[in-house]
Amino acid sequence: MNAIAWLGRLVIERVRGIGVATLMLLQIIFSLPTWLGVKLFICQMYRVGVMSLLIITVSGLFIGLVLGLQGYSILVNVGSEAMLGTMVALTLLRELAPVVAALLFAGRAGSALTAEIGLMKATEQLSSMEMIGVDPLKRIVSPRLWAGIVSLPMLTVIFGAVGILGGKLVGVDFLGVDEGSFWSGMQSSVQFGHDVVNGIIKSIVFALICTWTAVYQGYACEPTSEGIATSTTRTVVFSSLCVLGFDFVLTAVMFGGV
Amino acid sequence: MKSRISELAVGIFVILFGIALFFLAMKVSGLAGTNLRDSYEMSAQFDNVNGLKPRAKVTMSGVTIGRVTDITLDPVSRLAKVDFELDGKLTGFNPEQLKTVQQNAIEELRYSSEYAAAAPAQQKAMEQQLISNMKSITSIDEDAYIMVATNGLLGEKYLKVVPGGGLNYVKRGETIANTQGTMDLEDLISKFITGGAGKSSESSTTETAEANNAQTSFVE
Repeated sequence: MNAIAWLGRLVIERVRGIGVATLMLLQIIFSLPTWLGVKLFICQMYRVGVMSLLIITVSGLFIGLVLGLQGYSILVNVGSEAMLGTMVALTLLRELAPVVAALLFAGRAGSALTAEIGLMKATEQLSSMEMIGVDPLKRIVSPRLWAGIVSLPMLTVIFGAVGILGGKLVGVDFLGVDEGSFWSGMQSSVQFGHDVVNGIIKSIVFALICTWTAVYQGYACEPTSEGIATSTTRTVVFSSLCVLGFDFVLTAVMFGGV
Repeated sequence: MKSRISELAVGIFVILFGIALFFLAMKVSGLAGTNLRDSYEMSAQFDNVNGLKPRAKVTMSGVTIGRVTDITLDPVSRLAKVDFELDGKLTGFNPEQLKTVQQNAIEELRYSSEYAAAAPAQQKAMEQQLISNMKSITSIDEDAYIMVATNGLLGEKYLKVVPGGGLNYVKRGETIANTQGTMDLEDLISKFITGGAGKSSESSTTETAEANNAQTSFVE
């Protein structure tokens, strides 16, 4: 009997959590932008987006290098190393750039957002803001959420571009694939509307998932040091799992048919 | 001061994003190459378009002149109808070339028996009609045929326009009558194995709309 009650409570708590998170999201998305909000947004863009730039570029470069190396060593067996450009570009644009950038983003920026907002809650900064009549959702959560949603797609595009350049560096400059066939094979197979735009759509969805999870976990965390730790862990775990799961769904919808 | 630095950094971030997006669009997807200038639609019917996909290229003498836009099945004739758009700059004449083409056509007309038999007034009318017919023509002549070709032995399928030697030209938006569908390697091999190589392989590559061929095979 107790076990059943525990199960019911668990479900109710989960559903309530989703409900609160959704209400928060709707409240933020449908609130009017203000001049102060824009300034705060730019400040958060700096912290969320610009500061993630280094890790994103470096990992993009190395993933491109590895793709070029591995792709070459496989394709050269079948004598079709001219396909290297196609392979590197499609792998990066369709899958790796959105997913890896989102995972890195969840680890780099998402955890920081949760910890920051969680600590604000633990030290009762959020409640004192409410006391003096400042809406913490508008002042704290909203700029962070928007900054995440805007900056992850941008980071993804940069990741993809750097990765392709990395693949070109290994394939063309080190291993001697013909540069013309590398680019022309890529251009004939990559379609902007299909591959690049779908990759960006994917990363917008991932950005929403990651930052939403991060700010909600921070906002709803237990105001203790242990609670902040749990919330930060949860942010990374939840957003990583959601990103991977949604990636499968989105891939099935975007590329599965035809 | 700090906010100024962060604003600058965000600005650089946005510029980087712009550069990356431009790179992906131009260099990686080759978006510049697919924008056809002054494009128009044409269509053709094939007996078999196995392997041809929308957005496949259309070439003439190896130069890409257009893209396949749509592939549908005509329920009456049960042939595949392929719509494709062509680049008007590449497949049209400029005014001077058009003049030469018209000159040639009029000369051709003057040698015809009908023209010689007609009265002068009628001759004038015929010339007028010929010229007015030559508005919005393409550089594809009526004897040209369009075929589903393969890029290399295993490459992707695309449409190839093979120009003929005709003096009459297809107009914009018309259909190209002479077509040749995909040549299935399996069909050819199976015909080769079963021994009917001489006759049946010929019928498999028959151009669907070539009246002459059809007639000769009737006579036989």
